[in-house]
Amino acid sequence: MRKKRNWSRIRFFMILGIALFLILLAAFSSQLAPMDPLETNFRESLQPPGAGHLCGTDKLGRDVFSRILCGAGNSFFLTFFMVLLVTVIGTAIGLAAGYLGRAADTILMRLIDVLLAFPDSVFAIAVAGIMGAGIFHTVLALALVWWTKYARLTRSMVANIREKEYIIEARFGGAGDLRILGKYILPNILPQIIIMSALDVGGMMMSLAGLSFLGLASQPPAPEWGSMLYESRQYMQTAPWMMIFPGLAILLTVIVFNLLGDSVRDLLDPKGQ
Amino acid sequence: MNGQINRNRKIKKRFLRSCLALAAAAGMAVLGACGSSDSTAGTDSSASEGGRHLNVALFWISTTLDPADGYNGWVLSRIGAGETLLRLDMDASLEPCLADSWEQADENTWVFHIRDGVTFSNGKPVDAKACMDGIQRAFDLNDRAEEYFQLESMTAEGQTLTIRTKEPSGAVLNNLCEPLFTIVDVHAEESGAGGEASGEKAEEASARGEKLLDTAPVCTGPYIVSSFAPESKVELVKNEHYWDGEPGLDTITINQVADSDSRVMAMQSGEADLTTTIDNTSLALFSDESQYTIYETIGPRANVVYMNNKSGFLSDLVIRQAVSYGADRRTYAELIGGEMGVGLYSTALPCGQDITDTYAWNPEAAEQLLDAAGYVDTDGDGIREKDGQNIVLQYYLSADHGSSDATIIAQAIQSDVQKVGIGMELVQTENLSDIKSSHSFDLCSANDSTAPTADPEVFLLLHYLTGASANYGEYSNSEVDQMIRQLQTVFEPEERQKLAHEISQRILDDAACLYISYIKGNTVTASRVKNAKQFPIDYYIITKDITIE
Amino acid sequence: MYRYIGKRLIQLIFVLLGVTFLTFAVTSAAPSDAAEMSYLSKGFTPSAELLEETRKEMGLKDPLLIRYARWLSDALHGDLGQSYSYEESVLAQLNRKLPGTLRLAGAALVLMLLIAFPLGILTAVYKNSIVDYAVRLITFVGNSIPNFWLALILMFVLAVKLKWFPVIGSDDWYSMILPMVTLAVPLACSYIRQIRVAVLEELSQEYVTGARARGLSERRIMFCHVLPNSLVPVITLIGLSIGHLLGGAAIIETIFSWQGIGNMVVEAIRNRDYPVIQGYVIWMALIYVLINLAVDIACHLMDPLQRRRLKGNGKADGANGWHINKPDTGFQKEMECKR
Repeated sequence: MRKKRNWSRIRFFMILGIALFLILLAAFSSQLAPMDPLETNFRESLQPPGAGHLCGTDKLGRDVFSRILCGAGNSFFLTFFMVLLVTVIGTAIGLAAGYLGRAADTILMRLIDVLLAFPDSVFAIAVAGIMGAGIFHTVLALALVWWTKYARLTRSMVANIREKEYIIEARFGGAGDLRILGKYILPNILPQIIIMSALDVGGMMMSLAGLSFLGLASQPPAPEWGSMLYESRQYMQTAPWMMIFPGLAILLTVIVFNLLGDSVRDLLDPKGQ
Repeated sequence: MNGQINRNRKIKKRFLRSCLALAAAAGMAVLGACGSSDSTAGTDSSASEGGRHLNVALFWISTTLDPADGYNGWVLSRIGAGETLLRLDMDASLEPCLADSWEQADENTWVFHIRDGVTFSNGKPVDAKACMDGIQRAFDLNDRAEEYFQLESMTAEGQTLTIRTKEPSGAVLNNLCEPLFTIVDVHAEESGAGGEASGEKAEEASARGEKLLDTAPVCTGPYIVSSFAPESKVELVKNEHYWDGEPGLDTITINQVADSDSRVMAMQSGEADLTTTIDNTSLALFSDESQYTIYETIGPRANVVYMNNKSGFLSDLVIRQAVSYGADRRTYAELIGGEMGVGLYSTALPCGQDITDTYAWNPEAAEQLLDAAGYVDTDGDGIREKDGQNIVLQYYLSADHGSSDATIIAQAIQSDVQKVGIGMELVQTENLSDIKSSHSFDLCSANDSTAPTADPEVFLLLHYLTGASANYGEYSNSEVDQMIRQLQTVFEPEERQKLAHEISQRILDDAACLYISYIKGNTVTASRVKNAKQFPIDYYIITKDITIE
Repeated sequence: MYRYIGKRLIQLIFVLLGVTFLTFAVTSAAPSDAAEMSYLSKGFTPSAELLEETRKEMGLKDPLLIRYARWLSDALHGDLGQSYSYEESVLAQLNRKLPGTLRLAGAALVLMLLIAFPLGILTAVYKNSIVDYAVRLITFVGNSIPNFWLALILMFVLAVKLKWFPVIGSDDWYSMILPMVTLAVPLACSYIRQIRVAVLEELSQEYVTGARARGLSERRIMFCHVLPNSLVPVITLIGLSIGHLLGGAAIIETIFSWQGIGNMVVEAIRNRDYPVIQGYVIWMALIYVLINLAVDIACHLMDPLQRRRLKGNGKADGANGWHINKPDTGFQKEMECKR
């Protein structure tokens, strides 16, 4: 058993190392990129991968490799921001509902029922579609859909431990609601929430890429993986590198973050699977 | 623990067999299901057997085929089913079609002689009355008709059709080529079904007539619609009674393939023999002449960037001129495949020829102009300032779902104009038309057909007259207004073109907007398809001449 | 049981009210309104005064709730409004496009299950073998592939390069294969993992040991006891995946030019055809909710423990033994027939 524990710890740090490496790459992408991702050069339009351009160039002669690298910054930032956002909102609402119970709980659960009635991406597509393209609307659309998961998880966990003896004791001891929430409840449920967010990073990245693939998320000329894929469709045959490399970038990143999520789960909750 | 493992092994062996059996059964089920649907697919394609058959991948098929409905007439015309009184030929000039001669009786009156011996595809003769009913129906049902000309009255007498307009308009003849005015047998069902449905109430008969107009309108073209599936498929058969000789094909299947890349692939895989409007980059894939033939012609459509002549920075002529000088239109046009745009009319029209390129690409000139006007970069951020404010323009473009030309142009201009010290922010928006009509932009992209019927008048009236409904850039020049008014009352075709040429030049000199490129229409066919053409006007595709070897 | 269904149906009404209201509210927040769009779709830019006039006429100035009530009563009469860009009612358009999507999603679901069940069971039975690791590796990668990228790659390789499949999405089954596979594969990858876990869980139950002790054949244990019991969580998942399939269809349908509701909504977004988007969301939600209701009821029927509780049929006799004592649920019979 101990051996297994150690192994999952080693695995976690290995994958964390890779993930941090990717994040560092993204953070310093503008220094690392061999070329300006925005600079157009019409004479170099649609050049295949080669010495000058590692991943070729796009229609406007921009270096695809540099765009992928700089796109990582945008994609990562947005993904982490979104996961953080829905985690905080979802957890806060879930805490409130689970702890207060009764009316607050009922209202919350009905609201969640309604939101869950929308197939996830359908609602995001519709919101982004109706409100118009753009980062803000995309964030809104995805946040509206994703927070419910966290709220439900938190609520059920809080409802479970709310009546535990140590909480009741603390209450008798004169601790206020906020103190109880912060000192006794939150630390207890945090691991589960962290596991869930870690597992969601990959999925969030794909959802974002999907929306920008539909032309609903990012604005040109900023490089972003989903929209790079969208642009590449037109050149699928004449310039397949425009499609292959951004796709690989998404695939690899999502794999790394999914692995990270898995190993976080193994580490924090060995019984989980 | 050990026992557990042993047992598990036991399960495994037997289990593997069961799994295989299950998978096999499932596979059979799928094949079976496929097989049954296959047979229905088989009957579908039976239409293609026998005779010369052409498969076309078209970018759009409407929800109905009623020519008076929306732009459906264009579809009807593209597929070779619908015809109009007159038509436009390869050099965008007028050509007789159902009317074989015409004359102008006075300023407001036009008299057409309907060709003798033409019949609808149901055998009914086409006389002036039938034409009148078709045109009247377009005016009754479609608001767009009024834009082309204002109908006062029509009279029909034998083969003579007289059309009177409320105001003089020199564009009547060209505008009658618009497939909105497709000559369709309005009473088709009533007469056709007369025998069997004699007891039928008149209402029901007319309701069935409407239905027929939606799915299989009776027209005069070389091909007859035999089946129609909205937004997906049209089947056509040869019109045996066609007035202008025998059509070259027996049957045609038109598939809607909205996506340009999918059309490319449909051609490559041999699923389509003819397609149009292929993205320029992909044309290279059809360069093998033994397999494919490419037809290209400049049409009246242009990629344009409207400049808001009344907005903060751009109300200043100098800045508009600088932007115009700064944009390397020739390169953009090459990049997206087309001809460099100069004035508002494309070179497909006589009035689009020989326009002087007032603002040919010249970054130095742009910088000089800006320097002279005192717009210099004092804070070293690469952007010039006007009254201490960075000159940054908002460039709106529609969220790119379809053609990416607009996005490419926008990014290219942004990058070029930055070099002369003018900043530009690209804003993708879903509601570009709101932004256009509320004039809340500095620049915005558009793709306009500046002469849908090869006549210059309508576009000017709607886009450049002071205060006109589609004058997005709020361009206003009283002299130009006067010239446009004058154009309405000029009837001599050459005179009209000359005047339109002049107007186009004036608008360009005012740096009102940027015409980036004229769009080249293309048709690609398999090499065994013969006699296809790429017309400058984009509602002609299938003609009687197209045939297959 | 009936009480349960009744209760769920009442809940459903509230959920649908919420769904329609939310959709309506979001649509009302759109940057341009129905009055403007109805003109623009006719290719006509209205003046500000005319717009104001029309807005009054169309009742767009009324408070949100009143407009919602009016819209709801129309909707109940089967009127979801008129598409701006097509001369067609939203309902007619939905009716025309829905079958395509349902067919695609249904086929993808079937294919997904055909892949996921054998492989899921296989990996559970051969736990920690090479097969298990190989399949798990593949599912892990498959889980991380964006389906639109997979679609592009498949199309590029199989349709364009190898010409095995047609690229024009017509109605026949043959052109359905690629979109179906694209939808099914990533989903199957997550199901394989879920089914593996569920089966492993059941295999470790004591009743399995008991059954073995009674000399039941391994095959019988697997198909009569383990599989049916591990089905319940999987079926609940299927309900949730329907949403995934319907939503994913939007992207996949556009790539393969498949005539369905997803393609329609992307087109509608392009044209800002709000009534169509609205109708789409509501229909999708309706389908999704109904399917999940059916799934819940099915699970109730299938899970003997819960069913018995509902029937009020006394104690569950020892959590371990009752599967063996009462193997004759409808589902298990069905499974036996299939053997």
